[in-house]
Amino acid sequence: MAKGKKRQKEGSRWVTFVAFIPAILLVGLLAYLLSIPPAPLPPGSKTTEGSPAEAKDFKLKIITPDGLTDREFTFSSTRGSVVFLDFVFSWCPHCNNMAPTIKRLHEEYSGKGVVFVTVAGSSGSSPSATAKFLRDHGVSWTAVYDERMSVFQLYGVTGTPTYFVIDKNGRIVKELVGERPYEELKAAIEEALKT
Amino acid sequence: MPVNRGAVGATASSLAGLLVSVYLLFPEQVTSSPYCAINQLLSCGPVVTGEHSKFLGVPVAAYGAVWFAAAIALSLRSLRRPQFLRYLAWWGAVGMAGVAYLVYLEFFVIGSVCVFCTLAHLMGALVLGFAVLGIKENG
Repeated sequence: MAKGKKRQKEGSRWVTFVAFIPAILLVGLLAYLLSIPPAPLPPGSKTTEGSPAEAKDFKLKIITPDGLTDREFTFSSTRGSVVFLDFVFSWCPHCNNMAPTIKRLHEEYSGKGVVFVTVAGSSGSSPSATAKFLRDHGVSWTAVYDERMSVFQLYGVTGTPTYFVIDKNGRIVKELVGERPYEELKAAIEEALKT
Repeated sequence: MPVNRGAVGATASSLAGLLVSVYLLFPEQVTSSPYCAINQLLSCGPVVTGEHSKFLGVPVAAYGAVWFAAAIALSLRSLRRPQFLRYLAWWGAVGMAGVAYLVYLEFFVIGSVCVFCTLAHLMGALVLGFAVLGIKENG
């Protein structure tokens, strides 16, 4: 009799445990998801100097601080100008850290004929999150939204932020990955302006 | 009469779940939260603003809010009448079926997981767990 009661009590415990399994699984899932590190590369992780590669043409929809538009931007339209091309994700902490530096560069060089273009990735982001990123950082230059991540692939971008400095002939002068000091980016633009 | 811990836990979980669901009804607020975009997988933007954020034209979060409101009603009732915990457990099981489908959508269709949605799912799972705990406690 006592054994039967004990067995019943144990069975009851098991049923309660089973009922909590979905909650345990969800806690595990949350812990796993939170443990995934942000994908962007750490500051100053890669520099490619004097790459002879030609900047590839692409066409993407323009995104503004108000949201995604139907207007398209064609990269080849910048030919003849030095271009500062940066690849970002709205959620990327390093991109957020670098945003004031890029804004400062834009203020200094947009008047000197340098065209700034921001390519925002869609992976893990959305048009509204990207628009907010542009709003938060006062991005007033051309920004495009890479919905299919095709331009990220085209340029071999594996981490953000990634910056390409392109000369007037459409050749990539420098590729810089990760958080970089203002002076380094400025020097790359100056070099492109000289060619 | 002693307080049924399961019913208390279910009430608290339902209330927390309702709060999260109501918050999810405001995607602009959600996407501007610093806890929205954490990494490439854990990003609520595509989940709360994408095409799967609505079902039959109604935000999925609204279904969640209604589910939690009903769970609150049942769990409050079960504080006095523990036999209502059985209905709450069934309601929890229905909710878990919905959660399973939503998690599938996040991982395999949308490709992003929303941390706030997962919190709401967790609250729903706790409602089920506490309901069963309450039933067992009640004998």
